Amino acid sequence: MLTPETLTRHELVGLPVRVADARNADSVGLAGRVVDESQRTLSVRTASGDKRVPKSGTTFEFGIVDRPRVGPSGDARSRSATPDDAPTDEAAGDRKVPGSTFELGPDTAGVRPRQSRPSDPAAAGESPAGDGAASRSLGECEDVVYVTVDGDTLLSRPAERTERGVSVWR
Amino acid sequence: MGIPEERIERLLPLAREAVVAGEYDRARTYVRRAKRIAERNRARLPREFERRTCSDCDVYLRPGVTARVRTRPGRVVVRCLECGATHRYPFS
Repeated sequence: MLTPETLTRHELVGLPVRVADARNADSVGLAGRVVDESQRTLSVRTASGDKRVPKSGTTFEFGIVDRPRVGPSGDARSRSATPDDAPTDEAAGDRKVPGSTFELGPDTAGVRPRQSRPSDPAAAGESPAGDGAASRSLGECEDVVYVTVDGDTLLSRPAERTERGVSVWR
Repeated sequence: MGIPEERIERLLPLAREAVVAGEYDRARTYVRRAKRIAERNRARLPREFERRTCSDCDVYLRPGVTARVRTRPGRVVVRCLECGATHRYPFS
């Protein structure tokens, strides 16, 4: 399972990410999906193209999703709907994408109830239940947990990331 | 199931998505990373993974887009349209 504890050893590609803090002031606030990872950088797909962010000296906020996607349309949508906003809004924006394969997890009972945003017709249409249920589902779909990670802990080759204590045979 | 297996499992749909988006090289990087994780952690690549990726050029094989799938007596023949490599596997 991808949990906040295992995140730094897990696959980062496909996760929604936001640059919370960085040495380079220009990359602060970048948000999108991780599209590639190298030893010292992350490539983030944002609405305005792929950005390469150095890991060192940067603080990332990753959203933990069960189904990683890189879909540029979803990001464009979320960016346009919610500019540089809280990451929770970014998650809502992703969910709004029509035809997204998002499904409610088994524990949909309001982990973190949140208001439904006014511009959510697609999300409302997604759930067959009534309006109230739709707004509820929007609020609670939140299996999405956001984890703040210091980029320095990610400095290593992606393929070797699992080496730390995970392998049984060594 | 450990983290390596989970990472491999997550990378296959990502590679598929990259092929759907027409970014074959991005699909290759995902497939190559999955293979690398498998060999470094002595994890097996799932059979689904073996059959949906080209072992020569590592692209995700999407029938009709990056792969041609034909049946011959007793086996399925998958040809990668990117590099021309042929994979066969039996069926009964």
